[in-house]
Amino acid sequence: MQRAEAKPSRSSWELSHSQSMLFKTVQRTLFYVLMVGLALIFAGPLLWMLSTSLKTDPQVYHVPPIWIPNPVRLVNYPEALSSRPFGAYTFNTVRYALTAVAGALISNTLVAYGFSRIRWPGRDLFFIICLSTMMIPFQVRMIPLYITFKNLDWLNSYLPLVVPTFFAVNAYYTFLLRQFFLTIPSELSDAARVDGCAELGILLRIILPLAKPALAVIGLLQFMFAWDNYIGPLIYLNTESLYPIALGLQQFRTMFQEALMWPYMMAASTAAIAPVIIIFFFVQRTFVEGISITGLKG
Amino acid sequence: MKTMDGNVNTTTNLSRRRFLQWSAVGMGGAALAAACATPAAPAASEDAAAPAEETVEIAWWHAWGGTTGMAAMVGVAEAFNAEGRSVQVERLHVPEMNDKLLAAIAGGTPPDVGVCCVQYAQLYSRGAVMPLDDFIDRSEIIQHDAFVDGLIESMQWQGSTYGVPGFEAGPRYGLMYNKALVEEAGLDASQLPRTWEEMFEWHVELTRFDDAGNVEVVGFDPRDATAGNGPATNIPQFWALTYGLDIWDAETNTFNYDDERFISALTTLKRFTDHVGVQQMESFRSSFSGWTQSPSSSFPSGVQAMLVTGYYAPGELSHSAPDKEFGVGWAPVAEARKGATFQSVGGHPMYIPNGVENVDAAFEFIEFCTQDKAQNVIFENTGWLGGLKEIYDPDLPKYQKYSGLDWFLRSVNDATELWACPVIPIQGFVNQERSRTYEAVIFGDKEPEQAAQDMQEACTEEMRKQFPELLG
Amino acid sequence: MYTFTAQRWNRSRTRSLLKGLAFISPWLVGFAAFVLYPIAASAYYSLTRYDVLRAPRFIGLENYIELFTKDEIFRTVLSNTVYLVVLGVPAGLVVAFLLASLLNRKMKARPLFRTIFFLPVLVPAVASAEVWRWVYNTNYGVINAMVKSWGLPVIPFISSMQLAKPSLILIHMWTQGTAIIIFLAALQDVPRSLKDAARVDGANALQRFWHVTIPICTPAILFVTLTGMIGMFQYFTLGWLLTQGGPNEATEFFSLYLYRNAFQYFKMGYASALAWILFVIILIFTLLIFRSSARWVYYAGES
Repeated sequence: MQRAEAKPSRSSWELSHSQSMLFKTVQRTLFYVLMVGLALIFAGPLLWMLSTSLKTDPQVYHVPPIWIPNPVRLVNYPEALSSRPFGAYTFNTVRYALTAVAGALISNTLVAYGFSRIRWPGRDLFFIICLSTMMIPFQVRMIPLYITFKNLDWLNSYLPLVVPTFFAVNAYYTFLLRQFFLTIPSELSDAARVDGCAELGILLRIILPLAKPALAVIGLLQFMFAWDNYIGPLIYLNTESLYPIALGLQQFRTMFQEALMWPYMMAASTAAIAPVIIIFFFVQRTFVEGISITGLKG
Repeated sequence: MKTMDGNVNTTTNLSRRRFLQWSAVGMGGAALAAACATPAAPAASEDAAAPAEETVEIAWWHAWGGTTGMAAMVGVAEAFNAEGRSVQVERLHVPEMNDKLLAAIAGGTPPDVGVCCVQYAQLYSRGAVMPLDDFIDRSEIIQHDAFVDGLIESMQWQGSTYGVPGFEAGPRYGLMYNKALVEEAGLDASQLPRTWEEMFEWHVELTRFDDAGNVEVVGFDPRDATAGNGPATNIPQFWALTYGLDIWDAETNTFNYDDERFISALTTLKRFTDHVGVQQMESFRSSFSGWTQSPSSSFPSGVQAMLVTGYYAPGELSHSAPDKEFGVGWAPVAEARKGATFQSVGGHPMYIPNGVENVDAAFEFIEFCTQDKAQNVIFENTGWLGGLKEIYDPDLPKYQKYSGLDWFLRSVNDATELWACPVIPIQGFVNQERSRTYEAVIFGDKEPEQAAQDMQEACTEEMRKQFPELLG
Repeated sequence: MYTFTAQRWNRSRTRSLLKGLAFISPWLVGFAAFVLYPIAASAYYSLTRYDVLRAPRFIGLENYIELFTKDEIFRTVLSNTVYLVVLGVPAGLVVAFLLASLLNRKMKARPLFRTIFFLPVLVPAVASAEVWRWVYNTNYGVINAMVKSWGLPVIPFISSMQLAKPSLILIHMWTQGTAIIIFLAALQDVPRSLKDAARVDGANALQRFWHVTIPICTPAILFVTLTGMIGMFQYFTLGWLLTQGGPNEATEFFSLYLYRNAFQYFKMGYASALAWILFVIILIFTLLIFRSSARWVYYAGES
């Protein structure tokens, strides 16, 4: 703190070398104080989940809330996870999520390319129609959609959840990828076109390598969506052994009091989001400042 | 890959409705691959693939979860399947029943048996579930008059019975109080308030504020638990009942909200809230959850002295407030009805959707659920009662586990009035409208007279739209 | 752009049209198979009285007429929702962009910080709701415990008609993980050479941010604004968990009311009419934003 008070006045522009070093140190310290403070606020719910997942029952309901459990009840984790068949739920969810990610990446890459890197008459109109499918709430589309899948004889399977991802039905991802494709300078593809490169070749060889961060984001978001999706599986699945984790977690929910409901629910939830956190960790590594587009060969 | 097969399927499996053809043309003639069926069509038969042996498999959906709730449901299904019958039940936990059930009925793929938690009356009145009277008449196991008065009536619509009480039935009204708080306030628990006038005096004595004017203890919250009804689909409307008013006339299918008694009820509700202050009461409510299930709810945590609630409260309180003592007595009534004691036994129906194939098998499972074997599994895990008269015996050893439960059991026989939950075909609308009306009154947006009249008009108008054929 | 003869112009147009359609063909198939019918059906339902359990009954525009002339809740719902969108979307956008810029800087434990700021969208909504319920609690919440210890009247947050919506917007500002990673991805496109050039020209950090970083990120900003708006118009989960429309309808938003109508009142026709009104409102906002985007969004691929 004393060092902070020694901060040089802003009016003196001529800073000696050591003063400027000091200024930088103070600035950096303040920056980290700010970041740690913000981080605590943003980590709040996870800390609460962790804390609750380790509590005994009376501690959950203590007023005011207790943040550090005492005693730490680690056994909540094995107890909660073995109380329902979470092994099967995890297998179902992983299979669903990975297939959906593949579907979203393949289909949206193609469609977003058509909506961004090629000029064709009617493109904007089609694009607005594509976007507008996001604007009708799912609640009123749900029942006709259910009837569609019933007629396809796809109920009680993951087909209704997985197949549409291969057809770019979620305009959110298409739109996101389109925006990123549009930031890639047109000179790059024009040059390739002059060289006789076909559109698909341009997409694969020029656009995709440059859009890695965006593809990573779409993969992550689709994975998260599938991981958390609750209403879709609820509607389409009629066998509990097919349930995904999100529906497994719902089985802890209850309207009446029972011992360890919150600790179990939070232990299972914490275990359930761990894989997503790990995936996020890897995805964010693609965001390294300073990829220089202009430096690439066109 | 399956994707591709499925896609081929889309183009071959078409059964369109006329408007769809129109819309396909209207929207540019895009290849219409979405097939559809008539929404209220009966169940499709193709999924009734019979197992190799002669056992019939039926699907049973329930919304209850939680460790104990799941244990009870799993236990009931296992007990049934272990009986060596020709029927086997496959259980499914459906946390959001409304969404799934509506889609399933529309798609013609409903379960064989359902229980908890939808707007039951809306299913009965719209012909979505089967009348069960013929089955009950033929049954050797259950009879119409085997259930507590008022219970099976709450599952009837226009003379037919659409549900059988299987799970979680019981008396809904008792005035529970925190013994320590009542004692501290110098009140005599042997003379519980019997009218709203007396109740208000207790409310004033029991409510406490700190120096800054923040409320610390609330005497009585007129909208907590069964007084406010919450989202409950099988409890009569408490406030009107205490004034002796049945808000629904099943003969004429009309409402009685434009009644002096309902206006008085609203006035009383506001009076209790005003003593605490509406903002303070709202804050109190959002700070503490209601009812009795959680130790951090207001009543179990000792910051609310009185609560109108049902038979499950003694069991819940033994978990949520093991260190506190509670008493129970009759819920208060209007001054003019002093001396009346009323009770209502509500419960969740087990129902069979229309179009189900294995109706007999489904009914066999329902029968099983009403009986001792299933009921004991349920009570052991959750403390829930069933609907048969014979189980309302306060002296049964299994009921001695929770203090106060015997009062509820006894009240069923002692009450001067036993009310059935009205079967209102626009139940969901009415419940929400009721909450809105209570809020409009306590926030001072409307005078009770105006609010009652508006409520009457809104509900009548809604009936006229949904069921014009039922109104003269 | 097209400076050929009419005939060649046509042929080239046709070729580009076919090329475009070929690329978007997965979507065309998906749209026809899984999107068109549900949308068309909901449009039809909006002209009917339909409770899902009985066949729909055609009533023309009656649902729409009732919504605009009789339904008082609809008016409340509309103004609540517009309030949420107009204040919430920009607030979320600014927070997300600033945090993403911070998280793009070189720093110690950067992956850890990024993960933490992303967390609020990862944890289940019930967990977030519990934490916020505690933050806003008037009796022992983190803020009001302090207020009370000073002997002041508590701040009612979500239980107050005035503060409930701002309190929900505050939560929204804190659940910006998705927008943050989208901006992080977008920030990778800011060429360092451009920043370096600006630095050489004597631009300070703020000027570089304003004149280099933001313009390059405008496509992502447009995306986050539009999808944020579309999402906010359909705001549901945390409102449902925390306030359920209360107090006194201060947080009764479009999707809540729509859900009640569809699945509690079994009024799918009315709910569909609500959905189509919402559709038109969102579409108008979208087209306005799109039109304006020509003036402020910079696409390197569109020059």
